[in-house]
Amino acid sequence: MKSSHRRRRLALVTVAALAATSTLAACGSGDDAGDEGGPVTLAVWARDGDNSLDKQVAAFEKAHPDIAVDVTLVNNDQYLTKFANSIRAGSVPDLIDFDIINAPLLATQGQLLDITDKADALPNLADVAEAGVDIGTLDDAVYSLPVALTGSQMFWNKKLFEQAGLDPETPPKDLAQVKEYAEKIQALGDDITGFSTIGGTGQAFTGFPSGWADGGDVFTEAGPDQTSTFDDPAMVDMVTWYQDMWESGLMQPTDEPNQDPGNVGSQNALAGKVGIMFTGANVFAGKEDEFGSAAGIPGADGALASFLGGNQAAIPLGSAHPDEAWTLLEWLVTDREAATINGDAGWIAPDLVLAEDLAEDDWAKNRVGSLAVGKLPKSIAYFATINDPNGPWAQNSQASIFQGADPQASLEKAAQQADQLISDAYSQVG
Amino acid sequence: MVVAHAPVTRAVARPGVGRRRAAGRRAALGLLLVSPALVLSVVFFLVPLVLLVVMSFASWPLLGQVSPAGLENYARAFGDGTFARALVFSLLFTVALVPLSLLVSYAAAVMVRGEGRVVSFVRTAFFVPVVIGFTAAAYMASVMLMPGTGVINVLLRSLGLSDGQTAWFTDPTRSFWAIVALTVWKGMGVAMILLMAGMQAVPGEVYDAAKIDGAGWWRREASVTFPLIRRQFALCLILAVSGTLLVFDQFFVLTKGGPSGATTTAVMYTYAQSFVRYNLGYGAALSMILTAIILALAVFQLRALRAGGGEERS
Repeated sequence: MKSSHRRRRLALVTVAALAATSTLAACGSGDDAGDEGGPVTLAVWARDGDNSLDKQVAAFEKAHPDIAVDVTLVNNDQYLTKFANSIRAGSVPDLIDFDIINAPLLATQGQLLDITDKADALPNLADVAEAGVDIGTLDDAVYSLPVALTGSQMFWNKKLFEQAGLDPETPPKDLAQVKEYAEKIQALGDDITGFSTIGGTGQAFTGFPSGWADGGDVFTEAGPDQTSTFDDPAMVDMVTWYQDMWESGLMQPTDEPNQDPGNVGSQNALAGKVGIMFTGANVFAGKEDEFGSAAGIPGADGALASFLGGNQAAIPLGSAHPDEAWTLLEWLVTDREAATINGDAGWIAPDLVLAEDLAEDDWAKNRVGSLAVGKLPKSIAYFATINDPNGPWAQNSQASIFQGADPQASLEKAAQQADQLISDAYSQVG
Repeated sequence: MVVAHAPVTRAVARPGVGRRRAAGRRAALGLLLVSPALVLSVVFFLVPLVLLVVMSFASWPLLGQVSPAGLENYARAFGDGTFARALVFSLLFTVALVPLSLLVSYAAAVMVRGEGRVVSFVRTAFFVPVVIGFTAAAYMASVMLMPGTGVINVLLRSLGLSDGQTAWFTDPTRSFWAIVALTVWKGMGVAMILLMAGMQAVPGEVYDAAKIDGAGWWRREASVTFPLIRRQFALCLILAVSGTLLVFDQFFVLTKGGPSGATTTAVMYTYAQSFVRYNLGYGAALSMILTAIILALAVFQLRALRAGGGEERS
């Protein structure tokens, strides 16, 4: 009896010890670098919204049998925190594929490998979306390059255009005409609204392009002396235009913040209830025939601009295989197959000449065209100043658009608050 | 077999030592059995807590150099008007929610403390919202409160109480009460079950005696049931207060802290400092302050309820 007790106890000790060690081991595993012989295994991080990298990697491995790639999907909201932890733990991945908007922050913090010489040697660098290269560049050194892109554009419902007596093939040419057409469409009645941004009215993705098209901007050059220029006349005009559109009742009620539980706005647009929309092309996936598209979003003077979204890739300092990581990065930026897979997944390849060549119809060509006029707010304080729903841009622009506050005064206030946040952000850079 | 004999011989020789050894072995076995839980607590609670304390005394950017900051983060927190506003909002939410929620839970517990199929169905129905995640529940509420099409707006319109176009989450007061209602509905099940269990444990003869004394239903409820379930009530109160002060999900989903920051809770502000502005050291200090407040409130409540329950022990 006693011996069986002991055996049971011994078994318990073993189980407990195993449980404890495996818990601890799980905390610090994951580095298989230094394999002797055989292919090198690259550790690559992709953000979870990326639906093309897996297939691209499969094609890359076929073309490069000496390099294996291990892709880990990382929750986009936790990406930077997780990357910071990996730096502190001294085990960074070999290549990171991240939200393009974070490029200035990562480069400024000095955590990325300088790839200027390699990038300059790319045969197609001049064809890569300019804003994408620019946002990866800091003090003339290149730290990251775009690998998959998408932009914001103007779309319109062709059927509603016809019903309102407008030409379904000719979009409004400037913001004044957007309003004029929206009024005609809204006059059709039957719960139809003239115009919508579907989400984030007057915000970065669909609002900034109108200001950019008119020569405005939201920041001075990136660097410790950066300030915000939220009260730039073109930006004030843009917010004033949205205020007018809202007060005129030409927008969906769901365009007001906190009213859209997910996708009601885009469902209305797809159901043919909205005349003109400023948004991203993927909203209309599968229904492209019913909508017209422009190569960007117009400003007051008729020029077009677009917010460049997508993924940027970089090699972290401390990567165990920087050369192989560059081979993959170069392939992602230059290879035709990589570009084709991007297109199938709803992205546009960073090489716009190649993307244009792959574009089969006007819809796809306009998507590529929007990237050529694409821009990005380049600041390490983007999230705090613009993206945060309680940050200066969001709060003050929305107070103007939806609550009637004076746009000039609101954006001046926003600019002051943003300057403080930018200087806070730079004071943290080591 | 030899193994089995040896301890017996020793036990006969020195009984006290044997008993002590056996007790020691039992303690060791106990420790062994809880060791996986202990390891998990150390790794996932104690270590992060210590790290949090360390971070709160440091300037801790996301990627740059970590440097000691002394009391700087705490000094900044005490002068931070936005944090004070968020904290007051969380307290206000707690003050509005907890009494209402406990009242509803108590009433529900009275309804479901009996037996029978209908009662057990109602009990399950009241408890189901607890099982749904708060984020999912918040999205449901968001759909139900949509202007024009949301079922609650449609209902209000058909009753002639509104035009059905109420945009609940664009006004601080409206969104506050909408979220209070959502939280009561979502969370009342836990307190209901705890109070119900307490009520069911009250011996029937106490009620019989009260009835003989001529006590009516209300009197029995107030003078018999309530005093006898005070412990359960105290537990519910402490859980409710600490849980409500940490409110986050429903506001994060439904109002994002807006409009104009009017519904930003203390935890949301802490989250924004840590993960939007990446002031991790400052965020840690705010978390520590919140922890201290909740701890103080819990101690205060325990003391208050214990003082009230003095005669129970005598």
